[in-house]
Amino acid sequence: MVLKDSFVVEAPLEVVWALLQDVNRLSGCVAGVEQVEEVGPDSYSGVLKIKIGPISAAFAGQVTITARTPPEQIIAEISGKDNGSASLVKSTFTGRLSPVETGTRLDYEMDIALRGRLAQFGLTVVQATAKKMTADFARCLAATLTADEAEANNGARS
Amino acid sequence: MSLQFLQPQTLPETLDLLGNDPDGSKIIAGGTAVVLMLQHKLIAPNRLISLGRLAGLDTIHLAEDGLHIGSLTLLRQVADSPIVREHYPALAQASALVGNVRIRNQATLGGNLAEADYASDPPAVLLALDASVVATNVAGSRTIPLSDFFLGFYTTALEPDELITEIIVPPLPPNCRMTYLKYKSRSSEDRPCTGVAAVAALAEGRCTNLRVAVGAACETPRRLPEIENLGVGHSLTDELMADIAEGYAAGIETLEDLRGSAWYRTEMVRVHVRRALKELGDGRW
Repeated sequence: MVLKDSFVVEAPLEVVWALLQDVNRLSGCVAGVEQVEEVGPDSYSGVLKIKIGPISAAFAGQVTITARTPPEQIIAEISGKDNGSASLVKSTFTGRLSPVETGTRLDYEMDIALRGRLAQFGLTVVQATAKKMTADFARCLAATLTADEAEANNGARS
Repeated sequence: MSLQFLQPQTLPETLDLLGNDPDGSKIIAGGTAVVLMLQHKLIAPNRLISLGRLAGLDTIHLAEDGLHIGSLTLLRQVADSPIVREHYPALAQASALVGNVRIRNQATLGGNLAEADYASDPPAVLLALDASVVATNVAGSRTIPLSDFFLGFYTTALEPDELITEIIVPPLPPNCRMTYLKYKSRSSEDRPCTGVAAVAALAEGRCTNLRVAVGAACETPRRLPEIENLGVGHSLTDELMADIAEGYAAGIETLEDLRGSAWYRTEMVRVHVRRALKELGDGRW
């Protein structure tokens, strides 16, 4: 499953790029992410808890940034495992930045592969949930950047 | 920890048990959905509270404020009930179309709603009929209209300590006709690819009240009041039926699963909304 979308934030390209490097702040934009730790260069571990009605899953996994082309493109590999439902998820995240008149446009693509009982039970439901989470993530990112920008502007004025 | 299986004898006892540990407990009625989830290890409750020994929650009766169906009424009982068949035939129709006879003889109407599976038949009909559920906990009961009940995939407005005790379907306007069209894209016992419920009151050839609910096509069953209103005050001509069908096809963001792509579902919504309205207009119901 490939999720693809884009959004524009009112912030300069360099600022958006800097935020994309900050995994700790990025993870704050994904609901259900806990215990984020740096485990190596460009590599982080964490737990993603999701709840769909009565079904709960906790994917323990890793995020590794595999390629960077500053300040335009970043690629990360994500993998996780939920022991409860014996399910595995693997995903490649690609983010591309481009300057536009009003700020910066972020095009993102997530190729998500899910295997195991969760996938057998309801791939549709999981896909729709992933879609929602990705959209929430994008909205949160945009809000974070807008807030940063407002703060920077206030700082500049005072 | 091993799974505890509790079999309370009365409703207060059940609500007490549920209230003691709402998050660690799972209610089991017919078990057609819960057992599958347990087998797949998708849920891991500490205890199952069986409703199998409760009496009195499986009755169907007609009162001034409408039809009352106990939450433990089997889908087979709903389908076979002379009261339901006479007054709310589409509900009997939809209940008779769920799974197969073994499922219908085990699954309960309350359980069907509480599970909130998107690919299900009764929710769309009950939504079109403006039905409500009565949710009860130790503190008392509240009535939740179905339009506020389904929140998302397998997610309802029920609190963890609440149990559905009754489903209420209000009285209909006079001269009402109704139908439910289940469209299956795979096997004869499959869940619906789309389900369309239509209820119309007709007076002197004109539609005085129209409700159309589409189920299984998106996350929760949907009605589009602004599209329903297109029909009110007019006779259901072919052109108007096509317009309403088009409104539903355009207004519902359909989902994709093994039963059909989003594009296909949108086309099936268009076809079946039109067919359902045609049935009502033709007087076949």
